[in-house]
Amino acid sequence: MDIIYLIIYIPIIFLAGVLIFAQKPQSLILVLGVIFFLFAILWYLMLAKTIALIFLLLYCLLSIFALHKLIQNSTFYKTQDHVKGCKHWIGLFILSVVLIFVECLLINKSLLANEFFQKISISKISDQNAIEGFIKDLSNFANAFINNYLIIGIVSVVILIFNALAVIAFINFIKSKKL
Amino acid sequence: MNIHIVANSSLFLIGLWGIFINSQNLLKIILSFQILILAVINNFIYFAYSYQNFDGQMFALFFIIFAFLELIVIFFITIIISRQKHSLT
Repeated sequence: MDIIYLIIYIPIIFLAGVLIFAQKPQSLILVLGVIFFLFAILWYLMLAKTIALIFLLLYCLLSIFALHKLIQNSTFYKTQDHVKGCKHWIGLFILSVVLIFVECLLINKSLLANEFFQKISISKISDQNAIEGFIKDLSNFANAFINNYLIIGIVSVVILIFNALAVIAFINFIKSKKL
Repeated sequence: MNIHIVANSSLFLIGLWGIFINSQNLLKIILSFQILILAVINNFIYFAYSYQNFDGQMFALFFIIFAFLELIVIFFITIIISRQKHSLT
């Protein structure tokens, strides 16, 4: 088991060294994203699945920014019209939110609707083992989230594409407004 | 020696080193600070894992939230400075 940790730690330390000496902002974002991803794997192995999930989401966010930087100078998605840009952004954002909600329902309907929100209720906070219970609930949710690889994989890619397009449209909208 | 402690110590030292050698560049200082934070969070999670105690994870979770809020503040200060001076150095 130590060898697995060693295999993950060596690239993290190497990339941390690269991060200090890197010059371009794009490469800084990319290296930081990869470090987050490696840490997410490490913490998944250490059974801190909630925190691993947070860092996976952060990795997705940084990927979106890197994607935006890559597409920024191309003519792939540029909206010249202000109103059109705003409409695109709002539409794509709503679509992403709907897709995330559908994803959650697909993973485990009962977990999301009944157990998860009932367990984390105000009455439980007054409990003696509230912190432990809260973390266990979050871990269960993260477990259910991570264990359905196929659904996660398919829907996450769709969400990521829509989010990337939404971010690009939004940034173009802000640029056109010259804020 | 324990591999986790050695790796976390080296990450922490790399972060400190980055802050000292890049003291002229604000963006690099922020990223070095990020490495420091990651090393500390990793320590919390490792000890939580090794002692089978969930409190470490809870501390790590709070620490992540505080660290990112702090980073947002630093980031906006950096933007204001860069707009006034037209550089990040």
